[in-house]
Amino acid sequence: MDIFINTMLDLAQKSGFAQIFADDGWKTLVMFAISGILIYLAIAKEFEPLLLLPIAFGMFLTNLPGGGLFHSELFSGVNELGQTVPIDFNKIFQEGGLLDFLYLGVKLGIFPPLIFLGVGAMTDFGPLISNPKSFILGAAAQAGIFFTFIAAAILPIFTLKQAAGISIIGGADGPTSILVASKLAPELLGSIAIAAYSYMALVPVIQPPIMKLLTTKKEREVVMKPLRTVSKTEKVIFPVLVSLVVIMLVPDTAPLIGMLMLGNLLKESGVVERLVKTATNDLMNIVTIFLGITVGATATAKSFLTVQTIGIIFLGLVAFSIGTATGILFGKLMYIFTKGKVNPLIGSAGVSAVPMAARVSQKVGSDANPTNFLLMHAMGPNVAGVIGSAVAAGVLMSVPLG
Amino acid sequence: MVDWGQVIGITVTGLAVVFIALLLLIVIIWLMGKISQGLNKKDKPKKETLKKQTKPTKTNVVKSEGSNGIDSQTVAVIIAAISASMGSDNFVIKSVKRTKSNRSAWNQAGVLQNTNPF
Repeated sequence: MDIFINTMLDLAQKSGFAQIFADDGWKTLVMFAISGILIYLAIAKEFEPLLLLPIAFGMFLTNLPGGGLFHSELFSGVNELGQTVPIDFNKIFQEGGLLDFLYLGVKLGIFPPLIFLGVGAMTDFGPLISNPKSFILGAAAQAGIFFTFIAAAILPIFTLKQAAGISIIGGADGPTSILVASKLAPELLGSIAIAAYSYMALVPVIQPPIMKLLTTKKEREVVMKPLRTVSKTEKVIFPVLVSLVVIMLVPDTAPLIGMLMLGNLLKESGVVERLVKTATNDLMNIVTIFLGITVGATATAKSFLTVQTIGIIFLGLVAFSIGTATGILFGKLMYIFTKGKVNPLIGSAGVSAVPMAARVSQKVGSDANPTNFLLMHAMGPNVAGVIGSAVAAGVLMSVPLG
Repeated sequence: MVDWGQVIGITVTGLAVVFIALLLLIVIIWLMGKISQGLNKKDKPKKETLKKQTKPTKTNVVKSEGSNGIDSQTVAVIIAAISASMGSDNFVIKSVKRTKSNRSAWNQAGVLQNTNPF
């Protein structure tokens, strides 16, 4: 009888419920609530569910006390004495849980480039090839990244490296944000990823007011000349050329640009249909699941319930807003320079949330002029922005931020 | 506290590199486009220049090969369909023949899809 009671007491003490009533246990409950809200947003409001749902559940799993799925201390690069040490991979293999092992795909920079492989295989660069000037708009919108960097660097709660990791949210590109954050500010990865994907889902809400504020009705009504058709040869040469130019210029962009362009080449070649099918379906889905759940797992109570998270949420909004504004302003410049042939609204599509931002340009354009079809024109800056944010990421990862 | 020099330096560098890289790409891709279009135009004088899609091409077909029992309206539709899917009218139709297969077009497409070699 005693043995039975003792065993039960023992189990009760080890159970998660007991740990919640320990000192910081209330934080765990808060994290449960937050992951619950994110799950709701993903399912009911369809906020980027492909990533937000695994992220939300990863957050939930990691905060279940005693679960042992993820140990952030294994990856922190700081030992018990507070000294900086290289990550002990042997320790990870011996003491790690399921999500620790899967997280290696993030830590080693494997998953984000693989997602870009799929993205490249799904992207049609035709609108960009037929109107290369769109690259400028893709570049202009990345100003959101750098102005956010300044804003984050000013705040005393962030180091320079962390500021860089946060600013990449302005690239409006999930894999790019995750890659940069995992390299420069891994302790903030969970918050950065959640902010990035939430704001990407909010693009249709954030962009239109800014777009309307900065343009006149006359500018919004501009109908653009139809795009010329692009030959298959051009579409095949494009990924090779871009890789060559960009990677030679900024070698640190190699993982992202290289995989993006490989995916695109596979698609445009027309001779590896099976590889394209896999890259765009099964591979993407597998990596998305692993990426989402492990990034969510980094959002432990300790790392997420901080002043820094609030700062990141605020800065994310700053990043998207400034990016939209600079894109539109450059669009206006192009409108002036081409004597009214370019509709400034496509500028905001440089914020590379593909294809959401392009759709927003289309909608605001058709609000002003119902017969206007801006979508394909907006796709040019949209996909240029993907390249632009990858270049910005490469720069941020290569400059000394110590 | 904040090393303004470093912060501004990184911002300016970053913006500069992004713009330079993409400006470079504009030039190179534009060049590629021009070369590609130039190559396409070179082939044009070799073939008969097609200004309008329907009538001249139709006349070419009927004159050179005979109509093969296919009504000229069908030929016009075929020409228009080819032109639309190719996106240009840079071609000359040499002949239009009815296919000999007894399968309907849909059946044939299904067979092709399922027997496509790895």
